[in-house]
Amino acid sequence: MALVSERRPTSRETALFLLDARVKLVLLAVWSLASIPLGLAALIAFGLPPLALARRGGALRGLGRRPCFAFAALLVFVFLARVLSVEGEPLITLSGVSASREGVVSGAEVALRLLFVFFLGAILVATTPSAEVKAGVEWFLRPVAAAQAARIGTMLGLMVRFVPLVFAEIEAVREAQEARCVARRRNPLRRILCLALPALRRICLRADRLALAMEARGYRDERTPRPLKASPRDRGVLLAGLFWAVIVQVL
Amino acid sequence: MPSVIEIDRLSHRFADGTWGLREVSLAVEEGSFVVIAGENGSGKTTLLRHLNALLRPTAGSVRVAGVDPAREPLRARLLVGMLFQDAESQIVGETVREDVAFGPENLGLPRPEIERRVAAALGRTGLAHLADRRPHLLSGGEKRRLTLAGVLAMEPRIVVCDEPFSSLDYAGVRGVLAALISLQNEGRTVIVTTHDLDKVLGHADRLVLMREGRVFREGRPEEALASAGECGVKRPVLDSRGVRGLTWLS
Repeated sequence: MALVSERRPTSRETALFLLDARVKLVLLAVWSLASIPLGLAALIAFGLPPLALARRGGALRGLGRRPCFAFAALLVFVFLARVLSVEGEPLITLSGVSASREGVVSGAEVALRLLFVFFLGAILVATTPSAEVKAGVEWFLRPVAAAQAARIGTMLGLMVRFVPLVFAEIEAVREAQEARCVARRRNPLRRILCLALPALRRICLRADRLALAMEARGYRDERTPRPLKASPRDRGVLLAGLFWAVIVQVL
Repeated sequence: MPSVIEIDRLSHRFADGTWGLREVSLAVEEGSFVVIAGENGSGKTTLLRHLNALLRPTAGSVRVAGVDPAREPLRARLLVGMLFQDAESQIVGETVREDVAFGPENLGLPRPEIERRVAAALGRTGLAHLADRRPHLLSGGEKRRLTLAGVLAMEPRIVVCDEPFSSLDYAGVRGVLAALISLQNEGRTVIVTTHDLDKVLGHADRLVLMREGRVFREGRPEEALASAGECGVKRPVLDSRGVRGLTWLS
């Protein structure tokens, strides 16, 4: 279940795609944090311009449908939870359960904030090769934990690489168990164990083989780093993004 | 031709006490194509893993171009590139290009040199057009060629392949076999373990048959093939070309 489909950027999209990964990471972090104290109207005013720019740049075109639906379901759940749990002036009361006006506003705020952060993350993933994200994270970690930065970067890369494989392993075990009529077992815990234990074993074996293969290819922490270059345009975008986050806070 | 690999009375005992290898002695000539065959558990994989220091000998010694892998593992890994049986587990990169670059990056090579090697390895294995593809979207044969490209980018003198044809279709086997033969034609030493002698033996200079952790018989394929059945390996049917007809590239 990929968040974004695999595709090459078109020439119209190059501005976003060519932006330095570190700039995108900083803006993702700063804008996400900046959205926390904002109310509903401010959130819309803050979030819409960058999202509109991203949409125009083609960054949202590759978004997968399934994860979007799953995320939408999560948002609905969060919204309803807030509506029903925040006390205030009742809007509707059904069977003793009431939805408050304050709950609706609070639910909309939280859902919109999550949606905003989701889109920021999706734009980052859609417009940045994961190797560049990894190199960017490594670059930020280097002053804090120089020795561990490369290792953390490699771990990030392996996670991205192995997520589809983990799903494939689970699917393979599920099919094998279904072929052996696991559905006829009444105990759900037993059914879960029938799936989880062999899948976990296969994943651990795969991890062992991977470690061996990496060793055979001479893996070590002191590797050639991926080059990252920030152009004047990247710096300009960074400054404009930070300025936008500050302006919204002030207003 | 001088020997590039010299194994002398090599024994390996696993942590659970079972013996993987017992007093294996073997010499492999530079530039030769060697096929190692034997039933499951005969010690083929264990033997290969000593060549680039993934395992250390319990007794005996291994020398690869004069280097002792147990003492100088990184140098040994520069000399010996290894392809594992499960290609999927060997692929590290998020794209084909990144995976091929993984080995040279580990060597700390400058970026232009890495890019030169990656381009050359992708070209050699016919994967240049898939350079930006995610590895999990490749076919079985393409994945195997990707692992080969990853090894080639490290420019080893010796290429060691553990069951390179397992789970591959006809086209996949032919693609991998052609790549291995071209490596030998360049002067590299190629060592392949397999159960399927009919796919590859026609290209081999030597056949090594293993049984219960020992070298049961070794020699020219024409001579050693007679003992294949005793080592749990199916003896292929020979046509008028004899052993040279045992190839899927004809």
